[in-house]
Parts: sequence; structure tokens; C-alpha cells
Amino acid sequence: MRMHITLALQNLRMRKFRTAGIACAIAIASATLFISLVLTLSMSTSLRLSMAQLGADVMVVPASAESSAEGVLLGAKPVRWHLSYTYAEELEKIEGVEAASPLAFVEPPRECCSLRGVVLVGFDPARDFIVMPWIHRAGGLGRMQVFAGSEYALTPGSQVELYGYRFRIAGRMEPTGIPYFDRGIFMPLSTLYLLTQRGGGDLREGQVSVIMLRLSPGADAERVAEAIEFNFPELKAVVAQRALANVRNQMHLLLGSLLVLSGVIWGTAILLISVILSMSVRERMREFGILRALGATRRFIFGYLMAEVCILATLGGALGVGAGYLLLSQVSGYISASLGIPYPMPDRLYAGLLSVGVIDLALLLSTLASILPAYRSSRLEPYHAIRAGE
Amino acid sequence: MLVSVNNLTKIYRLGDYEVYAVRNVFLNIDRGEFVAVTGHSGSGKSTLLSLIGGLSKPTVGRVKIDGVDIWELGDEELSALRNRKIGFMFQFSSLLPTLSVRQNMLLPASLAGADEREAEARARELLEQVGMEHRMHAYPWQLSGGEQRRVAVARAFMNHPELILADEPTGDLDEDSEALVMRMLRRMNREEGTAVLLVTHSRELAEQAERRLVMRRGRLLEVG
Ligand SMILES: Nc1ncnc2c1ncn2[C@@H]1O[C@H](COP(=O)(O)OP(=O)(O)O)[C@@H](O)[C@H]1O
Ligand SMILES: [Mg+2]
Repeated sequence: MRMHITLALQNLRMRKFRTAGIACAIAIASATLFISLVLTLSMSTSLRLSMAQLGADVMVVPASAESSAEGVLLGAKPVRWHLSYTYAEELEKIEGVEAASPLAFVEPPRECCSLRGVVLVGFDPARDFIVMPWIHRAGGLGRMQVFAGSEYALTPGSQVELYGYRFRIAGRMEPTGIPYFDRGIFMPLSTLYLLTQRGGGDLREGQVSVIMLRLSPGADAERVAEAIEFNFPELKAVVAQRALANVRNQMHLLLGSLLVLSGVIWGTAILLISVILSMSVRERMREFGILRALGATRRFIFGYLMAEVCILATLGGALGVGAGYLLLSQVSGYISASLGIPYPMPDRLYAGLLSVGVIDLALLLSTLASILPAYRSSRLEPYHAIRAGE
Repeated sequence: MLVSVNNLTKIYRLGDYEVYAVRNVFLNIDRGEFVAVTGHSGSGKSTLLSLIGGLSKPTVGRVKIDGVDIWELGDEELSALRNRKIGFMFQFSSLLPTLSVRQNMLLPASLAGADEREAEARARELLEQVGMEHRMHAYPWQLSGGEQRRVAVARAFMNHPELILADEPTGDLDEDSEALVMRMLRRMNREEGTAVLLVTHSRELAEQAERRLVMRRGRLLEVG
């Protein structure tokens, strides 16, 4: 076994172009597959998380915000509008609405805070049903206390600085998959207004970004949305289920084409490996013949070629997965913004498992592609093989 | 008796007609014998060596080495026999192009699972005999034809073979290389008792052998 590997490595080293060619083909195929899988899995997790954690059936935004409303629901697009807090009281009167929680999202300028990319989320402690359950579990929110999103490694009791004020962390949320929540620092609306007045933000007192509605059991979300838009033409009611369905359709289209593409690329890669290997077998016949004359068995020749392919596949697979990961982390923000859906990069363990899976698949497919040429090489008559190279 | 060849025949079929590359050859070679074969190009010399070395299957006839019919052996056993008992030198380059001189030398020993230290020592000693020890780390393409041939002859002796099958090992070589290769063959023949079956064009070289044979159109004839 050691000898197979030594010989194979030496051969790969000495035939750099061929090695690079095959490894690249495998790398491209692996990268495509890795990217498709990461996108599929992390998007579906993020959607599942969003739905489960949100606890809101309808989101109300100004009618002018329509096009990006879905993005907001999933938290991928910045909020660029405001609506009056007083709508919360009005909306609660509509039949089927059980609770209305106005939320304000503020993305403060970088120099304001000790945390990078933080989103300040204001809520009404008397009305909110989204953040309050967590806060209750943590024992409530005291003076100069805030609640942290899951993304920050802030332990209860530690401090953050916002607009020059020091706040104490009262507790931390679980991951929700919604960037606005996971990167959020949660505080009562009154505190948020004080902070933004000081910091010169454009959120004025009495303004919020969205109003989340929880419906009473059995209420029809579509009907409630219609009623809201009829009574308040200046508002837009986004039904969570429908919004998600739209996003999901777009996503399926994207992922479907990605998977098809990666299938096509794999097909091409296998064909390429097969052809390059068959070609190189012809070119290397003399080498095999000499090896046989020196005492290598058929099995040895087969093992030698397979070792070569396995090294190539592992190398190419690892390269592809690495490149895929890098590419994803570079463009995920861009894709997320253009699709209006979030996808957090998978965590390390998850990415590691996926990588192992993709590399294993690369190994399996490359092995399959090379079994026939390797077998044929091993069955050559040594003398014929030696003369073929003359 | 080291080699015993009985009614050996190899027929190549080329479309409709048949080429008798080797025809009804009988040949015995004793341990430690030095036998030279001459003959025109195309007379079947290379084919005969490949049949004796178990690299090509005869159409008819038997090859026995140390009393064992080599074509009755399975692949593992035949490979082991080639590895331990036979040293090959082919008509053209015999070295593996992707391996250095040192790696080429060690290959037969590694395939035999031999002790690495001993193999290194043997390789060095053999390379010294052909004046190539200073090129240990060169690759075949960095060597001249003569130098490659010198490494090949040294490698043929790595596993202390009982028989060397050398196919025109001095063809188109400069005089120095030719002399080095021949000296090595004769010396190992004398010192280690290795039998040599040498195919050559050169009458001069053939005359250095104990026994001379000629091939004509696939038939093997004893000379004087
Ligand atoms: N693979 C083959 N197919 C057909 N004919 C072959 C093959 N190998 C050798 N021959 C023929 O067999 C004859 C003997 O060839 P060879 O043993 O190479 O002769 P030599 O080594 O004496 O020059 C030649 O006529 C050659 O053309
Ligand atoms: Mg010949």
C-alpha cells in the first residue's frame, strides 16, 4: 500500500499538467456540489427557524415598502421606512388580531457601538409577544439593561456600550435564523428613542419599522390581511405563510438549477477523468510493462492506478470544497440581498460534515470513472505493453 | 538446468495471415552460463526473450525455470518469479520515467519487500560498478542513452537474479558505455554466477560468450 502511494505521488508530481487538469475538474465539480448543498440546507434551516421562532402570522408595513417586505420578514434587507406606533392600537381592534407588537429596527452608524454590525431593536414591553417570552424566561429587564441576539458571545452581566451609554446584558436569545434578531440588541422602544435622538438617527419618537400581528386561533390570515388593507390603504399586510411560499419558490428554482448544473458538471468531470485516464494509459503502457517485468502483479498495477485516482480525488475534492466555502462566504451577502432571503453560513461542524460527504462522493465517482481503465491497464500483456511504447 | 525451453512457438495473427515470430525452439541454459544470441532484425530474438521471461504467452511449448513450468503459475507466483529470479534489460529504455535513478534501482527490492537498508547498499554498490553512483538523484530524462542503459543493467542485478535477459543492451551505445555494460554482465556472471542470455547485433560481443546461438526466421540454431 505504501508503495502504491509512493509511486502514485511520484507520478502525479512528475506529470504536473495532467494532475492539475484532473484535480481541477474534480475541484470544480466538488465546489458546485458543495455550494448547492450548503445553500439548500442552510436556506431551508433558516426558513424553518424563521417560521418557528417568529411567532407572527402577519407583518404590517407601509404600502410603499411592498417590494422589500418579504426581505424584511426574513431580515435580509435594511428597513428604510417608518410607520406610526399608533397603528398598533388600531390594528388590535380588527377582528382576528390577538396581539400587535410594534418593532423598530435601527442600524446605527459604526462608531456608535462596541459591537460590529449590530441592529438595535426596539419593542413595546406591554405589547410584544416575540422578544418578551425570552426576557421573561431570563427574569425580566431592569434599568439600563438590554437583551442580546444569539450571535454575540455576551454573557448575562457583561456590558455593551451604545451611543456612549453602558448597558448590562440581561440575557441572550436563541438563534432564530433572522439576521435582525440574531444580530439584535433588544431594548424598550422608549430607550431606543432616547438613544437615536442623541445619535441623530432618523427614527423619531412614535415611529416604528413594522408591526407584527399574532392572530387568534382559527383566524384566516388572508382575510385579516385583506381587512387591514381595506381599512388602512396606506398599509401593507404581509402574510407570513405566503411570503415564505414566494421566497421558497424562488429558492427552489435557484437550487434546482444549481443541482442540475452540478450534475452536469459531475457527468463531464467523470467523462473527462475517464478519457484522460484512458489516454494516459496508452501513453504509459511501457511504464506498466516495465513494472510488470520487475515483478509487479496485476493487482499491484490496479492498486497503483487507483491510489493515484484516490489521491487526485481527495486533493480535487478538498480544493473544491475549500474554494466553494470561500466563494460562498464572499458572495452570500450579495445573493442574500438580491433574493431577499438570509442564509447564514453553516457552522463548522456542519460544514465539516458536508465537506467530508462531498469529498467522499468525489472519491466514489472518480473511482468508478477509473475502474475500467485501471483494470485494462492491469490486464495488458507485459511484452505487448513494453513494445507499445517503442 | 536453470532454463529449459521445449518446442517454443509464438504465432502473431495479423488479419488473415500468421507470423511465426518464434518457431519450435529448444534451448537449455545452465546456471551461470553466458549465452549470446545474434540474428537479423525481425528474426524473433526479442520475442524469444519475452517468452522465456514470462512477459508473453507462447502459442505452443513450455518454458521451465528451475524446473517450474512458468506458464502453469498464477499471476502472483509468476510475478514473484520475475521479481526474484530474472533481471530484464529491454531493447529501448528500461527505466521508469517518473522515478529517479535511486528510486528506479530500489523498485525491484521494494516489490520483493526487501530490507530497505540492504537495498540502498546494494543499489549504491551496483551503481558504482557502472560509474553512476553520482547520478543517484537524476531522472532518466536528465541522462544520456548510455547512462540510462548503465543504470538499467545495474538495476537488473538488484535482487540477485539467477538469469539476466538482456535485449541488445549495447545497441547504439558509445564505446565507454558499451564496455561498462559488458563488463558488468561478465563480472556478475563470474562473481555471482548469474546466467546471462544476451541478444546482440555485434559479432564481437557475441564472441565473448561461452555459447553462441543464431536466430533465423524464428528458428534457433547453435553456432560452432
Ligand atoms: N505484436 C506483434 N504483432 C505482430 N507481429 C509481431 C509482433 N511482435 C513482433 N512481431 C513480429 O515478429 C517477428 C519477430 O520480432 P522480434 O522478436 O521483435 O524480432 P527481433 O527482436 O529479432 O528484431 C517480426 O517479424 C515482427 O514483425
Ligand atoms: Mg528485438
